[in-house]
Amino acid sequence: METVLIKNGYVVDPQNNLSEKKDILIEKGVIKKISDSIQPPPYIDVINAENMIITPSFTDIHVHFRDPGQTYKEDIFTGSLSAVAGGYTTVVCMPNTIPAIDEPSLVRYVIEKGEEVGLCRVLPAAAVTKGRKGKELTEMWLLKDAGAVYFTDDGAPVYNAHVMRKAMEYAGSIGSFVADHCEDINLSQDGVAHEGEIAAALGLPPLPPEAEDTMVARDCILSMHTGMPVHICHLSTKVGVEIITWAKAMGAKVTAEVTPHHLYLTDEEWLDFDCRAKVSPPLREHEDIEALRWALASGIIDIVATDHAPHAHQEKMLEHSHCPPGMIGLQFALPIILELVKKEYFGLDRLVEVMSINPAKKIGIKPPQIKEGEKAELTIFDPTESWEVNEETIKSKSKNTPLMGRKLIGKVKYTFFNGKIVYRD
Amino acid sequence: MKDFISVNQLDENRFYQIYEIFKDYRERYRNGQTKFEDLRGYSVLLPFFENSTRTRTSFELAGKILGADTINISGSSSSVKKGETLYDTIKTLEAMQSDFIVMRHYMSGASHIVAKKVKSKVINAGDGTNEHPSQAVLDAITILEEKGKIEGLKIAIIGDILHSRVARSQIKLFHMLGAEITLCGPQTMLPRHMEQFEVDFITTDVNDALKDKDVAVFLRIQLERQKKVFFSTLNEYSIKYGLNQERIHLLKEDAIIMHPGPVNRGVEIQSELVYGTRTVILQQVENGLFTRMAIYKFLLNQ
Repeated sequence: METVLIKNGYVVDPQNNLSEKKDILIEKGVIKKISDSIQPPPYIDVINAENMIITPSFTDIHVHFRDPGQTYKEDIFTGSLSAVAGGYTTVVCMPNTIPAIDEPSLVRYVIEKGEEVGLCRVLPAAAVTKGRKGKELTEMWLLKDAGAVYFTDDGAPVYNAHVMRKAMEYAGSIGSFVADHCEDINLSQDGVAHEGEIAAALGLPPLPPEAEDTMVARDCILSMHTGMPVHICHLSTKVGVEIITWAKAMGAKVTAEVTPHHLYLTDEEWLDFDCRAKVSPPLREHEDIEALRWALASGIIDIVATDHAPHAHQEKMLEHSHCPPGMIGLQFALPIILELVKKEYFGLDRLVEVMSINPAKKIGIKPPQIKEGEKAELTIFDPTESWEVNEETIKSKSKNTPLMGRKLIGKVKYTFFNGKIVYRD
Repeated sequence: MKDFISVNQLDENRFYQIYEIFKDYRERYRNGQTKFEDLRGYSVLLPFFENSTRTRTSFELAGKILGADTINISGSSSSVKKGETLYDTIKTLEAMQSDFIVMRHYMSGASHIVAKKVKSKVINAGDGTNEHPSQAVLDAITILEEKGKIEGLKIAIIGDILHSRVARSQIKLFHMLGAEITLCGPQTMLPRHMEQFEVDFITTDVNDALKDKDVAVFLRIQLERQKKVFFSTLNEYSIKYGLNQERIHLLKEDAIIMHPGPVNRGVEIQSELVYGTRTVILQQVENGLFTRMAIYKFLLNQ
């Protein structure tokens, strides 16, 4: 447990109406005192947080740590390293592992391995259907008892609408929820890139936005009729934003997440035919980005989630039809969302809401707070430091990102979890 | 310009340079010179990961006439099935000291990716549904030869625009050379985002498309597209989009009819008309040979 004084940092925690320069004294892992100026007691470490921002640590409800089964891409240890380097202290691992997380022992495996690593809270989402095959429901209640925080067949949609309805009803009735990867696979065909001008010009097999939009609409309508919650994973289209706006206005218990890459990158990443741009749903257009940013600002979108999806070098070298979709994201979320703050889409309060408070609440854990008496679970970052995305700076086992070689602004300097420093830049 | 991957690499000047080389070779060939020394000592590898008869033969023969050593490699998908990446396949070919790699691949962008990574000169002989630049050049040359100019001509391109690499190359090249372009096909075979293609008219009515045109290009219909619901039947397609005797009269008197081949007889063009007086399909093939010789030479001169 750390005993440390953080001096002169700009503290932001809307839960405690904090948005000002404060000193924070942490004693044996617990926030002892928050005050305008604290004189360092003797023999204590001091972190000079001048020009830095301090927030409650982040929660990412959508990551792929590939453990068990595909640990050549990532595992719970390297995934945790990547998480804390991005300022995250809670992550929810998707169940599309090998085997799929569809029974309680596998839920325990993820939790216990996460605890063994001990860098952050690693929680599993469990599959909606056995083997993620879309047919029979998993033992949701037992999975929840074992520690699964929600249900999803992510990577694939729950394609059968009846199965989706029943899953939503059952999950909702036991105090959990279903999250859906919205994609009508018939409409997707063999597409690899968003069906926009770029795909048309380059002759890339197109993925139409309606493949996502029709499924988002279906889920919203099911939620409305059943009265049960549904969570929309990685929303990526401007029409999707409109649908969710409508569903929320109708009183449906719909929540939505958006990824940093869908807020930041467009289908122009394909201009070099580089498969690192391949992701599902695909990178869309400027208009979509703009709609997503404003929806995140206004509360139509509730949560930022990275969909951190590591793939090995050799997999991303395959032809684009064979190459698996996905890109890593845990370390890039903060700089990308900070850029939206700098561009005045929203303020730092909202950043803390969408990256820390809302996602934690969504999965039923207590959001970290910067408050006297709380265990230190906070992130200190320099909002102006520029750094290059490269093999050295990426902590993930896989390096698949179209951001490779680019400069990002905003760097995590310290991450505290459970009263300890788990990351130091 | 190390490689020839896209018609985007051509400006008018470069195109007419290729045309001049083309004319020179053709004249000398017609005067009885059937062997040249320009590529003596050079090796040309032709990896084709997709079936092709005319394009490969054309590039191979062009290389041989110029004195190069040519080697055919039928990739099909055998090395892909073995788990070899395209990158490794091509690096292996480069290590065999090839000067030119003429490649066809079923993936859009394949030759673009390869060209950036090898020292050999890469010629794109068709990549997925992206581009087929040598075809567009030989077509433009055929139009020049037949009509004496391209600027100001009205050209209609008819068929499966969505999946056509030939169309993607033709549209850009013909536009750059000053033609007015009309695209026509069933709505299901027109790309959704047409704004960006610098075309003048887009229509689903072939009679509108052909009216008063100087040039009509009919694209090959891939039969397997039917199963993927891009059109109903060949019968309906041939009736609604095929070239027949009546439709010929919609064109200008002296219009020419082109097809990149191979023709589905009775589908894109009524069988009797395939080698009719207005079609220049065989001229395209002949021009293709000299065009490809010119492309080799042009790249060598760079």
